[in-house]
Amino acid sequence: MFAITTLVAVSFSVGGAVLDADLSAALLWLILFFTSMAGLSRAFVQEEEAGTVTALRLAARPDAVFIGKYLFNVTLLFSLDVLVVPLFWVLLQQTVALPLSFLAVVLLGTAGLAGASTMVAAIVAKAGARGPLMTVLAFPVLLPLLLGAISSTRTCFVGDKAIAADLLFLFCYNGVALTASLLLFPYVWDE
Amino acid sequence: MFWQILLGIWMTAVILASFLYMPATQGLGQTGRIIVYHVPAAWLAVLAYLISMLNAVGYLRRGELRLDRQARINAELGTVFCLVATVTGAIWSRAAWGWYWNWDPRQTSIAVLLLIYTAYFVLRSAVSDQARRARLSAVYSVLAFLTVPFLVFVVPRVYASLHPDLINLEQGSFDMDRKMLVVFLASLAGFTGLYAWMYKLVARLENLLDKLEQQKRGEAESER
Amino acid sequence: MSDELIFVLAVTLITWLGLFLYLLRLELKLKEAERREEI
Repeated sequence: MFAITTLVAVSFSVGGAVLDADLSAALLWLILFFTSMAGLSRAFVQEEEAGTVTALRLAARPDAVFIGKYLFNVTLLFSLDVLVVPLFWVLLQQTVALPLSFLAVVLLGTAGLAGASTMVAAIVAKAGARGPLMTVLAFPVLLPLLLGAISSTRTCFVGDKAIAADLLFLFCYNGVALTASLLLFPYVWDE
Repeated sequence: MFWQILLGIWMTAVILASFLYMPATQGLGQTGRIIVYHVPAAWLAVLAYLISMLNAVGYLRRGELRLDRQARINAELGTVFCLVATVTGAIWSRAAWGWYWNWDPRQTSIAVLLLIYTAYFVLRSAVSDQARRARLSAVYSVLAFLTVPFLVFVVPRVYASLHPDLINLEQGSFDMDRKMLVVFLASLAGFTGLYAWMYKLVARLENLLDKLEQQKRGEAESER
Repeated sequence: MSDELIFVLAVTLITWLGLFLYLLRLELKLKEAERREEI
């Protein structure tokens, strides 16, 4: 998988030297971001192609459809985390000063990734679902999340500042993204 | 016609004033004059996006394609002003901080805005059906807009500890020399007028082209 | 005023006047076309 390849490649080329906290925080989220893009871009495409869209539309309210997809994607990304994060910790020898906070950051950040990406994936599916389209559209929307996650991850590694405000921000991003997605999804879903 | 000529004279005066009447900024010297162009452009780029987003919301609620056209035109104009803002910002950055780009909070925000505009047009070009294109780009426009307040309020807090600059907010009204403030505000008014004029021009042109299309189609049908 | 500054001022002015005259031309052409549409 993409994530593993990248991690291995970086770790190998770094060769045991310890990376600066800024850099490794950024790296972690970069890997998670691109892997999500690869994995989630087709979240809705299967239904479009198989023609089951109409059946789904009849069977469930748009909210339900979105939540369903969202939860599925969250689970998917969480399992990605389970794989990537420990590997990341091992291969890059990253010391984590605030492990609990780090866990929170990872969970909130990943959930945020899933939420916004699910919404964008819905748009992309209706638009023809070409590969780069997902990344181009998702990046500006996800940027605040990524910046927040990278910054708080760095703090978790180094442990030099208070983390509460950053966690609050990540939490709010999730809230806003979900609310907006639930409001906007019907417009994309209903033909 | 009067307003356009007035605008022409106005902006010419602003340009002259920004070099001849206004003093050079402290600390930044002559390059600081660019603030008279940079900030209004950035301001208009954001305003244009806001208006475009509101057009988009209007479209989602009423389904009138006219609103989608308005959204698109505003986005096009917004992109132009955004480019101007980014370039003048880079020039300023080089003078103030040594290099054209260094991810200062404000620079990041304008870059993200540019990215959003780009993504918007990429999305539009990917959809051929008119109604679907309008709907999807409208949804995206709203979704992406949510990032703007986040960047305006959050990024300064997150990055403030790393980067000691960011004088724009204070220099906006309070720290500015009297003369500079006058020129700056005049420029802001001029830019806004320019935007309004450009918008009207494009809108009228497209409406005309539409009418022509319809006429041609009408003639083609009546010939059958 | 240094030479450099005068140069930048000149460039800015010429750019602006160029843009302005172009827009003015567009305006006049549009007016003409719209007038013809009415007929």
